[in-house]
Amino acid sequence: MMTETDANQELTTWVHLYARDLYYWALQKVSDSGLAEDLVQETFLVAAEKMHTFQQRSQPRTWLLGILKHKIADHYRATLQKVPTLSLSPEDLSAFFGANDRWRKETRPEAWDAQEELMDNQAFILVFEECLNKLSAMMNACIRLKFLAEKKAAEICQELGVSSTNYWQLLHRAKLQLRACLEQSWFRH
Amino acid sequence: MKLPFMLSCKSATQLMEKAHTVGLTRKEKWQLWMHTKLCDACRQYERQSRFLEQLFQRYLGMQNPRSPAPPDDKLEARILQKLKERS
Repeated sequence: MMTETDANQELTTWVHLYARDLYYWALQKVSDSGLAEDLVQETFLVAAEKMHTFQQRSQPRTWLLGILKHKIADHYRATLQKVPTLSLSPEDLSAFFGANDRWRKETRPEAWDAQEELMDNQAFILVFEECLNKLSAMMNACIRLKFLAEKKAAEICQELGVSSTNYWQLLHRAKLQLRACLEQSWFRH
Repeated sequence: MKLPFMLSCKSATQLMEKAHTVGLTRKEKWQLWMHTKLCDACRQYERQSRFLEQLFQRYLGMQNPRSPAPPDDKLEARILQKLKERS
């Protein structure tokens, strides 16, 4: 059993060892430096409360990341709860599809150069994040929550109170917008 | 020419998303297969859509090899301050 002083010392060590790392991880998930710092701060506050449940054989970093992940997911849940369910229904797609619902000439997909190599290209990832943040707050939150919480689409729908039809139509639209943004800011740049 | 059983590009790309979410009926599977066989643009879209999924998985998911963070003593100091205020 750890005494309180021991626990406080341990926690201080963890702040030095992991705070920056957690902060950058959070920043990637939320793309907002102030918010990322708040979430990391809250993570350490939760950790301080729950120090007695920490199993000595586990990795502190993994344990802290677990708390942080929940904090971020809660943040996106709160964002999504604020939007009316109505706005989760599909909108007009005529910007992408024209006559007979075929691709418009300007939006018709063509092969992306060296697509596979882009996965590790930092400059491209920055553009990808920018494009992701240009989606509506709701779409952005929906996608981030799904991948962060590692949930199946069906579970996410249930949790958010969205019908599965609205959900895949929403993702469809999000991908169309993301594609268009990447083409504009990267592939045709 | 538009064949009556041919999907539009809009429906075809929607079905790709539906396939991930709730799955497709046999008829839809066949229609989608047929459409992508004939439509080069939708084949490209499908490939790009898979690439986007991989990016989501990698950058928004739990595993995330981010480059090491630059030092920031102030961040640590602020967190330690918060922890102190707690007690």
